[in-house]
Order: sequence, then structure tokens, then C-alpha cells
Amino acid sequence: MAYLWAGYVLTWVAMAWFAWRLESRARDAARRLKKSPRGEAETPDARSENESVRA
Amino acid sequence: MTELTASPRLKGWHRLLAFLAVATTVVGSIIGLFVVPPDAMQGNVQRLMYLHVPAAWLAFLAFFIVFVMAVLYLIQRDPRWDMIAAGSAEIGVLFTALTLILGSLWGKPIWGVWWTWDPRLTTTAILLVIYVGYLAVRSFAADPERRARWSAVVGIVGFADVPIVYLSVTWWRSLHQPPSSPMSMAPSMLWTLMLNVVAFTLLFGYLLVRKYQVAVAERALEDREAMR
Repeated sequence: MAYLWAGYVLTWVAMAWFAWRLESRARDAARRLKKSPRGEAETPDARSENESVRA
Repeated sequence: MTELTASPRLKGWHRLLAFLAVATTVVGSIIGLFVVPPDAMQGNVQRLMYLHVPAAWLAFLAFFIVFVMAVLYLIQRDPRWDMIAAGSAEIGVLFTALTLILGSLWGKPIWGVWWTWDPRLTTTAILLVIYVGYLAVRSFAADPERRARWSAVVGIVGFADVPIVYLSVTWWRSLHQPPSSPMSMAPSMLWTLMLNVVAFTLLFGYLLVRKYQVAVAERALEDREAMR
């Protein structure tokens, strides 16, 4: 049973740690974007959409 | 709070995927641990298969996405494909490592060893090294265009190991069991496994969408800093 629980707990912890790290990066990037003088960033996606609208 | 979205189409998707992933993972784990009966031969430790198999599936899926995005990047030179490939590779490394660790935790009580140089285990370990190498290549190249081009090549060449991993149990004499078919499994075990595969795939979807959103935001910040 110890092997079984070790596997499940490790998997849950690994998933949670990865998602937490990702959300921290997302929050940090969002904070920096907000502080940035240009306001909303022109993301590659938005850029290609804007270009297609302009075309 | 500034919303981190690469595209209005992706807005809100990560939250929905996160909710579904957590809900299905909780239900899948409860069923896998407490509801479905233990294996007649292996006992309770067989329940690790409800995590090991979905983790291996995600590793394959992640590296397939890296391969497709790498090909698309080399054809179109669109940085979005590179961002998706990089995110998928990171998630793939996590799940390949989990596959090996969970397999090892199962192997100790069933095979009597933590590790053996079996073809399936060895080729999976090589897969992990290839994609850690992919991430290392990305960290070495400072120029975004060069970084994307080099890593795309590694992503395409490295994918050659995925079919080798899958077929290793049929090509060579292996201690690892061959792929199970739905006909060879008890229905309750099959449905539990399928539920966990869905749970892991939803988690992958959430992580990939979120990684892409973060990559887009960080790229936009890099561009802004470069323009100053």
C-alpha cells in the first residue's frame, strides 16, 4: 500500500506544483503588462488578427 | 487584474479546463483507489496503472504536439507554433518523468527491482533525456528566431523515439507487458482507466492553454522592452 499511496500523492503534488508555478508566472506577467506604459500588449495572435483586418 | 489572453477565443477556456481537470482527477482517483476492485494477481499496487498509463499517453501526446508544431514552425515561421511546442515539451517532460517514477513504484513490489534496463524502460528514459535536451537547447539560444529553429529540429528528430518506445515491447523481448486491449481488461478497470485518461488529457489541455497565454504575454513584454 505504501507504493500505491506514494505514487498517487507524488502525482497530485507534481500536478499541483506545476500548475501553481504556471499560475504564478501568469500573475507576474499580468502584473508587468498592467504596469507597462503601452497598456494591452499586441500579442502575436492579436497581431496576425489585426493584420488580416487591415488587409 | 489584467487578463492574460493570447486571443479572445482562448478567454475563459483555461478556467473551464482547470475545473473539469480537477473534477475528473478527483473522481478518477477516488474510483481508482477505493471503488474498482484490486487485481487478482497484483493486488492493490495495480491501481498505480490508473496513473501510469494516462501519464504515458500524455507524454506521447505532448511530444506529438511538439513534432506537429515544429513542422508548422519550420514551414510558416510563425512564433505561435514555437510557443505551443515549448509549452507542450515542458508538460511532456513532467509526464514522462511521472511515467518512469510510477512505473518504478509499481516495478519494485511486482518485479522486485526499482529499475531494469528493459527496452521499454530504456527507450522511455532516452525520451526524457531528448526532451530535457530540447528545453536545454531553448535556454542556450538567446535569439528567439534561432531558438525556435534549433528546437524545432530537435523536436522533429526527437519524436522518432516515440514510436520506438511504443513498439519496443513487440520488437524486443521485454519484461514490460505488451499493450493491453479493451478485450483483455475487466470492464470496471477499463472504464476507470478511460476516466483517468480523460482527466489527464483535460489537465494537459489546461496546462497547454495556460502555458501559451503566459508565453504570449512574456513575448509581448520582451518586445516592449526591446523597443525601449
